[in-house]
Amino acid sequence: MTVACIYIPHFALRMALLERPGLDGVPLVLTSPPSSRVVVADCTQEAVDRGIKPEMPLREVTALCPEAVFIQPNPARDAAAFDRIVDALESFSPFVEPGEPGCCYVDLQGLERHDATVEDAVTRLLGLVPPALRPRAGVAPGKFTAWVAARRAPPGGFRTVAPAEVVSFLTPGPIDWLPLTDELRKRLGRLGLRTLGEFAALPVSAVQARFGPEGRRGWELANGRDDAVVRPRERIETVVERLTLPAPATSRETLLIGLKRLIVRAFGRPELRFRTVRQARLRVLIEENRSWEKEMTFREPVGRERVIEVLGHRLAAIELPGAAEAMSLELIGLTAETAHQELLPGLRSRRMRPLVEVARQLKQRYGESPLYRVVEVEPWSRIPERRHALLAYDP
Amino acid sequence: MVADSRTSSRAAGLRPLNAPRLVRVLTGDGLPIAVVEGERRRAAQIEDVWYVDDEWWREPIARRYYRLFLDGGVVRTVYHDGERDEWFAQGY
Repeated sequence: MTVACIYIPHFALRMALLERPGLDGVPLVLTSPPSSRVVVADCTQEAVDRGIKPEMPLREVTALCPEAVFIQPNPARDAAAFDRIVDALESFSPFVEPGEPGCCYVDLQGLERHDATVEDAVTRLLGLVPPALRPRAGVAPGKFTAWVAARRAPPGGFRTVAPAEVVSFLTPGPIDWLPLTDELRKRLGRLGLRTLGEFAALPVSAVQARFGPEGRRGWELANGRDDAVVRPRERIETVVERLTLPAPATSRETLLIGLKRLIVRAFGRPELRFRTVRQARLRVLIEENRSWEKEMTFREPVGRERVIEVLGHRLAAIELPGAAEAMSLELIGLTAETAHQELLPGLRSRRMRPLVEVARQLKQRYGESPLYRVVEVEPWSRIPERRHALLAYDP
Repeated sequence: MVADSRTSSRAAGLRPLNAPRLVRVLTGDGLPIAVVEGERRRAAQIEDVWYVDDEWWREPIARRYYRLFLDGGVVRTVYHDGERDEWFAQGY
């Protein structure tokens, strides 16, 4: 198996640089998502050279490097850009596995029919990624070695590792590059193991006995034994709904109204008729090109009312770093299974029935329901048009 | 996978209520003296004046509201938009 790894280091920061090219060469620091403790999530080489490293509190960064520029995360933009890259790579081969953001694996088997050499194939792959993102590629017999090779390749270039060279190529690499848990990495560090070669030289029985299956897997990778196959992404049925808020919203009430609207619209789509969902991803686009996103997996398939309840609770608890301009909701894992019986339509309040009938009749005639409900949005606002809004009534 | 509809968000989903309405106001010394809404009505009395200055960090809002008693017993709340130099009627 020959695998190519397409790697874009500091993907989120590169995406920010695409929008603000003037920041190229400046020490950039990507902050973690807004929470009680905001730390460095990633930083450029210029920042590393000044002593900044991931997980460092921002206060320390300011003290260490006053000229550092903080970039706030925009996961919605990054996810969309990464999806476009994966789509482009899938036009090249059906065997494309997205890894962490900015990293993809492509199985090159069978592609010799299109390209005379592996080098031609990789050049073509790199051409599918915007050059401003400075992608690089690694080609090796396994995924891990290909990833290490990509990390060592120059921007825009690639590095190829032949099967016979894998062990010698991996030997000087830092042990931190192994895909291990933080805890195991620390334990290996305490034992004075610094390179992949040092770890690979240990007897496998001792590694297995001391560190269990995870340690053994790391030892195999360090020795170039990697039989993990490239797994193409699953095609999961999804429903996406978007809503642009009439005015930038800071209040939770507005967001909750928007959220409810999105969910009602999504469950009104024919794909979700008599069906439930297993997962939801909510994205809020915030002014100044920022975004917030949350993915929730439900313990059991849920219907409309439960989605409103769960996402509403989650939204009520967050602190957004700015005013929200738009929202999008993605419902994933559509299924006909239901764990609990939803309320049957016949058991709804009888008082509402004539109104629901009228609304349906009007919707049939005019395409969409012309009935609206007045809802409180920001009743305390000094700006009168922000206090109340009309919400389409579409039962 | 169900194709994303890519439809633009329907503003019909959530509409602001009590949006300001452009109105013609005649002034004297910077103060409203008459409101023209089909017919001209003289402002018999300015009952109240207040300012709303907000959101200077985004799109600044600078409004000077007047609650007016017009001829014929009509009450109107109008404001002068300092950013656009225009008059609007809006219930407060």
